[in-house]
Amino acid sequence: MNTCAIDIAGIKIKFICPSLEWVSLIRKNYSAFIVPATQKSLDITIKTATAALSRGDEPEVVRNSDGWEIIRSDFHSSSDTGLNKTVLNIHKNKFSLNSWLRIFFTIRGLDIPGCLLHSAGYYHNGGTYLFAGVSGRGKSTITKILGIENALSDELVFIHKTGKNLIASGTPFWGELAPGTSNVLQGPLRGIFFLRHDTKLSKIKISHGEVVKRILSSTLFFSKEPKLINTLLSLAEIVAQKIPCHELSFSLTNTKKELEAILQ
Amino acid sequence: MKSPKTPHLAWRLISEKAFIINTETSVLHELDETGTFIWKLLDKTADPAIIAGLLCEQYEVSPEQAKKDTTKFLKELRVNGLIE
Repeated sequence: MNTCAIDIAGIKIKFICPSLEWVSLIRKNYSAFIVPATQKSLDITIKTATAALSRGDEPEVVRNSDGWEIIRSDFHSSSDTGLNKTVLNIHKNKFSLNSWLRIFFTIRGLDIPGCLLHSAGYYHNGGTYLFAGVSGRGKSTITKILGIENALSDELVFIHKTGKNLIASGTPFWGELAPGTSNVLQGPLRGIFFLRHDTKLSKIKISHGEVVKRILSSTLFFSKEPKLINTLLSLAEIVAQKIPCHELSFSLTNTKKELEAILQ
Repeated sequence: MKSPKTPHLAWRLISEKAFIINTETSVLHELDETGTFIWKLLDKTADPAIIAGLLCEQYEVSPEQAKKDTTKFLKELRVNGLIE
């Protein structure tokens, strides 16, 4: 049997592949996250598809009595209610798999509870700092200045509640700086900075309400179920209460030392 | 009493303000203090006259102003798909 497994923030996913080509594709694109396949994992049985699987280019997440479906023109998966067993029909390429995996992870991660935030993440002095914002705000740029070797990602970081603590974990979901680093980093979340364009380095504290709005607008999520959105709202509220959050502007000429100083 | 709030909402009170997400439109609405007061009342009553009366008591506004504000606010909630 061709299997390989990955671990993202403690969520173990085992791919049962139809060919060694699939195993090779997964090993190559998720190399930093590969772990031994164990019994306790979410099993994804991959079936290679070639035709369009739906008419839509926008992904759709549907929950029904049998479980979950994730649908786009290049993939269609069916999972049980706990997402423990999934059959994934998918075009054989890294982009389709990566897109599907992000969506799958947003649903499964919410159980922890956790969410994928559009942010770069940086590990510094035993903690993690996130730089959030939509495309073009400077996430990859700030990652380059701070150094990729201590980056959690330059695109999507997983925030999750573990006990009373909030943790930020690196993911295999990178943007401009893909494939990222071979270090898989995580640590207690110490601050979130929402990026904005300006010519100088400055940070401004923002209110709880504003933090909630920014977190929600920066979260990757596809289901429209009110109960799940409520969980996201609840998580955003916890972040707003526990984590110092600021708006941050920086310039391309700022140094790593200057940026690290502003994290305090 | 059945609440007039539409079923496709997710909402929470955060720092005394109601944050409401219409999951059909994915729009987030943040209500001010008065709006949050009325929003909470909607679980008990949808009668604009009763709501206006309670608004008068809470915020010491004239009955005419309370009626006007309540009518306007309920209309906005309806237009945004937050109440039926």
